Amino acid sequence: MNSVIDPSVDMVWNSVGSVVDDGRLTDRAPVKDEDWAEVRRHALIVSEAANLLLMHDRPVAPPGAPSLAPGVELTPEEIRSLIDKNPDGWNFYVQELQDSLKPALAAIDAKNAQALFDAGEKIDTTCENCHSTFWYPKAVASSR
Amino acid sequence: MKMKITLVLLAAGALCAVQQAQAHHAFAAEYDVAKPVTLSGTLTRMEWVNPHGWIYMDTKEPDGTVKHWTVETSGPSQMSRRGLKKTDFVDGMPLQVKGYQGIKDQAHANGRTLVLTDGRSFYIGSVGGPNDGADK
Repeated sequence: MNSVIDPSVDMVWNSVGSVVDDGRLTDRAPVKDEDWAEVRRHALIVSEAANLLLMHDRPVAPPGAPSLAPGVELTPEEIRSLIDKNPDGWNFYVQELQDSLKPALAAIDAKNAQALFDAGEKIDTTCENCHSTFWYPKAVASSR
Repeated sequence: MKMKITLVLLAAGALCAVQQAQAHHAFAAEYDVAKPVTLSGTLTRMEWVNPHGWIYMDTKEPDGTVKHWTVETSGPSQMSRRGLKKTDFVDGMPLQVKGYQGIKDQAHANGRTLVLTDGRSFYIGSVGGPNDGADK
């Protein structure tokens, strides 16, 4: 997740947006064909990485990796346990991740920056839904 | 070929020129609900990007020094649906943000409410924040 999906999805998200700075509002989007191709490559990395997440018994982190936020976010072993208890739920969210990339890829193929920007929210929601189920369910419960 | 690779990398670099660390962590992993903050200051930069927007603002400390804050907001599409637009932001404008201070970075906060000088108030909180009524 840290090495493949996160950096690539950040690239997709950050390829479109706006910045207010230096007295002006600047919209940002891929311009050249190679810019769009680069964004497409990263979107495909995320989409195809979903297949890796479906591999049975695949470790969720290197052996011995700690929780990044003890007491809030689960350890890799706890996450693995939750996945094993709820494989259908895990598979559902993985499929959701792959599906959430489809509007983004369609927007990229159409070179439609606004559609790609709009597609970004769906990807984020999908990430959050899975994380709140398998990574930090206690944190979600305590915020309700 | 080497030139082509260099150009592609430069293009990718330009696309990524504006980037915050955006790992998806739990709210409580990054922000302290026991440390609510009310920031009154001036906007220095706004990033209207997925998955979260970013407000950069300066506040004046009691000792006269200026503190540079970075405030995470919800996603821009969510803020748009609540009536907030990217064109509402002009650098140098006064603004007030209520939220929660970062655990590790004392100049980092998660915004919950944004108040503009024209009196309009917007919920800008992210998913997973405390149930503090800011979204009502």
